Amino acid sequence: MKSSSTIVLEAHEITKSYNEKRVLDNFSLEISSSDFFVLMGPNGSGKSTLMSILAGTNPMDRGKVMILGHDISHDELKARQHIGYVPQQHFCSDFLTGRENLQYFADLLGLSKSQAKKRIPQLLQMMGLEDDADRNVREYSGGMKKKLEVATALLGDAQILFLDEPSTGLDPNARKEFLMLLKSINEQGTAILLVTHIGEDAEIANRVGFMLEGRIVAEGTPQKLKEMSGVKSSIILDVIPRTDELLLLLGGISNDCIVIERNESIELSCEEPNEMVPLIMDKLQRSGFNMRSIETQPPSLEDIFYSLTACPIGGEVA
Amino acid sequence: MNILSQIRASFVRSMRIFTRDKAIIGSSIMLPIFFLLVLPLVLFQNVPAEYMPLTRGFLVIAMITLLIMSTAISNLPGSIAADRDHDLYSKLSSMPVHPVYECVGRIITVFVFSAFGSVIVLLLGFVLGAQYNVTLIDIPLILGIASVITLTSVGVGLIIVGFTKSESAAAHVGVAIVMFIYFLGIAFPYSELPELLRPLVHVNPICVGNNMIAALAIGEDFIGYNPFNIIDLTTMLTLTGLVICVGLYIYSKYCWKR
Repeated sequence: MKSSSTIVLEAHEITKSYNEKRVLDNFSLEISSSDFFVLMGPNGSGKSTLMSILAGTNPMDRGKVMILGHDISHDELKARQHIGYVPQQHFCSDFLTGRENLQYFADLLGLSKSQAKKRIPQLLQMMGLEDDADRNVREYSGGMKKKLEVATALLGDAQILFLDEPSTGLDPNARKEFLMLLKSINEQGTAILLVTHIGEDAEIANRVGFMLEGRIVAEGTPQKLKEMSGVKSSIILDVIPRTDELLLLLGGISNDCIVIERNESIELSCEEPNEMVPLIMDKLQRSGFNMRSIETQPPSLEDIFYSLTACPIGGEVA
Repeated sequence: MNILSQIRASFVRSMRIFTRDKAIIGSSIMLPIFFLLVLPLVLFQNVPAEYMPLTRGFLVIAMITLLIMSTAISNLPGSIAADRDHDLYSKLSSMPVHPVYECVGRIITVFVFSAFGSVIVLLLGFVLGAQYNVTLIDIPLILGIASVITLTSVGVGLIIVGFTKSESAAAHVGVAIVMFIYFLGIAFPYSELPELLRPLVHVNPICVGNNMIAALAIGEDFIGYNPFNIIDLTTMLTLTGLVICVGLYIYSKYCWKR
């Protein structure tokens, strides 16, 4: 395990424009080896451009990026040895097996035969791909391809992984499994910087940044951001009969609760939902209403992003 | 940075793709074989029987040149463009990998794959009755000239992929250029070409190289001129050097750039 105080990435005042449109505006960021940092932002906020600059694949107009003290612009060979980059697109060849793809990247990195012979099976096992290692990548699911790509990023001495929208196209189960895998990689001492527009991806991070128009507009742990935003948790109710009396009753339970009537259910936005639930159940029972289901729902990071930036994360920056 | 391991990695990967992709095998190897079987029945019906073996020999040489061109001018840029579309170059750009060494691996693939296909076409030519007047001393020279043809073709292929945006554009532009070169300087002996087209042969290293091999293997009389003159030789080597250098530069700058 590496020291949690090791600064792996230092990005200072990165500026980048395309055709006079400023995409990154004096962007700065510092990441240590224990960080799992998720950068959330809508399409066009500069996330992928930032990722490509930090990974050393795109020059910046101004600024500095240091990977473990090596400047990505002037000492690129040394800096790149510590980077593991996973672009958004699937880059492993469909004509090769998983093992052959890993061997290709191992050879490119200059791993010796014995090093590769040891490391490749280790990574295949870590990713749960050992049984599929000798199948062509074209037969892999989206989740398997993404895991293979992460494995290619871990072949060398990567101290930080850069992942560009890695869960796009994955079904919910595959996404969950993939994020847990990233979490375990992070816990073994590899820093992670992940960019996404999906709020769920950020829930397991220890640091989340909201990005808009080329800069970070808010940053903190998921919990801290939720507290900053003031967005309340919700209680979702399915009650019959649905009458005006019911809505009045629910509205009168607490001044802090906001009642929202939806097609399939009623939503109560409350400060302390867990304390409100027994109160609501008791009131409804006494009033003769039939409560079919009740559940609490914490605010999503997408809701919090919108509340802090007034920009929907599923939208696009003009 | 281990230069040899980067070259080897790129070569092994490309070679696997080339030998597993049916489209590449079809267009590079099967098509020349098809032409070798069909063209004599269609185009050479009026050739006297005593000249047929040499005519078949000429056709085999032309088909080998076609094979090399298909591999290097169409399939190589198509393969590179496919990798670019899949963001492989973003990944490679983030690694301590040198574009030129990675490209050398791909170039070696073109050489090996073309050599493999050429042997098949050559053997088939012998089975069909092709005849050559080649001595042992000519073989290294023929191989050297074939290497120059391959290098020129690779250079053209790298230039194509630098300026085309997609896999299909790269492959289609490559096919068009292959056909253009083939019909304007390789398909027919120099003496059979219209006067207007003959100067084009002299400024095309691929056509000059093809004629050199044909002159060595079949005879100058068949071709209609001596391609081993100082002007053609100098032009061929200079243009080959220029095209491959420009191709490598364009590949490094435009394919590896996001």
